[in-house]
Amino acid sequence: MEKRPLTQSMRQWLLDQLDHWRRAGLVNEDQANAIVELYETPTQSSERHQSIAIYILIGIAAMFVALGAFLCITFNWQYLPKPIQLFVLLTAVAGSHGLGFYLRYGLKAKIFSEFAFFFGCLLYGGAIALIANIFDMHENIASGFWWWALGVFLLALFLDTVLLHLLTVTLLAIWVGIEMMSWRHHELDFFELPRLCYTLPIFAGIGLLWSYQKRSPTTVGLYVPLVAWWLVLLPLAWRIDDNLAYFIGSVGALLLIVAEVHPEGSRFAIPYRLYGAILCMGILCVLSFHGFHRGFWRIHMMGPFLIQTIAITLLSVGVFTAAFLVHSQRGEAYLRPMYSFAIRQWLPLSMALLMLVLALYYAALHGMEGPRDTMAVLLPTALANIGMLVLAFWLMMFGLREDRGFPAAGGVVFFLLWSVLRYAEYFGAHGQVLGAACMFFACGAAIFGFAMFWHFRKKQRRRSEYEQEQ
Amino acid sequence: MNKNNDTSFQAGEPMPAQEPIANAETLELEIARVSQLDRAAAAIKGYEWWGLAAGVGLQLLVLLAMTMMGAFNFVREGM
Repeated sequence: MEKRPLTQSMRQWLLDQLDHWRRAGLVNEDQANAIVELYETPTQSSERHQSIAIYILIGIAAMFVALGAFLCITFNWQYLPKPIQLFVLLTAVAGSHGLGFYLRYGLKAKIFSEFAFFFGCLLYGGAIALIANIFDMHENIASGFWWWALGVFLLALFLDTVLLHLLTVTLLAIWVGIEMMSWRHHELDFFELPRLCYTLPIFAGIGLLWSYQKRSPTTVGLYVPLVAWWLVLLPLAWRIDDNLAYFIGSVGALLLIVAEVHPEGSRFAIPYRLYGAILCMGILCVLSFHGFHRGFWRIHMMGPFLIQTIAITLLSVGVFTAAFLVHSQRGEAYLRPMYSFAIRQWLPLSMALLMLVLALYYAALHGMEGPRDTMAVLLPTALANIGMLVLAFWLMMFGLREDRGFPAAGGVVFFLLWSVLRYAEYFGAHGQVLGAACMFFACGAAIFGFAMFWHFRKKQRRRSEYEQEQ
Repeated sequence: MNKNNDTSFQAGEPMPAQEPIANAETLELEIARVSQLDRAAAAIKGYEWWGLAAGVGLQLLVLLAMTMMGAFNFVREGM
């Protein structure tokens, strides 16, 4: 059986824990050795890291060779007869993939075969563009990207690296962007559905299944932003672009909900949490400006605006409920108590609720003349600011809970961002230097306090672990 | 209730100490999950050659179909 990858720090943790379990009588010597045998040795681990560096270098080399080949072909391309052009294109694609097969199964050189296939996929895309050019097939550029992505995707599923997944996701993102943006200007006929790139969820679903099955959080991190991109563009394809900000914020909240559906400490949750936090914080940054809300009143089509807001909220609630029901029916209650399952979701659900409340608030004020004044926009501005601060502190506390630096640092960065933005809004124009200085002193003190809190908490944890071991 | 997964402690309190999984049922569930994933990985690995061949075949088929369509349009417009 293939040994599972393990970093040096994880290996050290495992060895410590096994020692602890052995002393507690939970596992015997043979069982402990059998567990260690499941994972790669330190030598294999360092070799794997070297392989990653080699992968990157060969990938860059393949891209340069592909670029060189393209330039060589294009230099004399127009002078070649069309049948020769077609022959060159088909031979180049078939030859590159043939080389991939030979390297993989003939010479057993898996790394090099991955790059031969990658090179072949780049040539395949170039061939699609050149054949379309030869026969003047330029009616639908987006479909060219779809066919390119489909061919690459099938190969990506049967290879071991994320390289072809990266290419697939890039192509699908371009396809979705071109297709949905260009569709905005299309007049819908009766009974005609807009082009919403219906096959994207199938691509993304299979890609995510592959990622979970291969235990690759990196690949999850490729498909999650693709799905988010598609979701964000959906209202645009329907030509509903009133207050798109709340919709984007709700997509961020949905990603945070999905992140917290994962078991605690799961690495697969990281991409969802990262992109969800970035989307929510990005939107809250914009909404936290008082001046922004004053120019934000116009809702051209109330019905679609409300449907868009409610649909994304219902989707979030549906995802939460489905995950909740699945976990309770699987009998994992002792694994992940329902209370802890629900309590982890307080912030993602609050974010979804905040976006819903802000959208409904504007819908309620629609058509009124009075609310355009400063007081009426005070509530959404204040809520957005509170949302920013709560999200920043949630990330800091999350980092503390899982003892991970990245989310905690993200929370600190978000907090700093909030303080800089408020400085720019309230003190920037008037030059009230002392006020700004006070604010920055307060921010510095808060972050210093957090760092000290984390430090003492870590020390306390270590002490309690030590006492338990004694 | 497994204390490992209980996040109901308050900020500022020390986190409950991590304990090894001491429940046979938990261990069985984990083993079943992992072996299911391994079986799925092995099944996919078994079809690797055919999968790659299908992918390459599809790419060549797309290029040939484009060529045929283009040639057909070219001849039709020429006539």
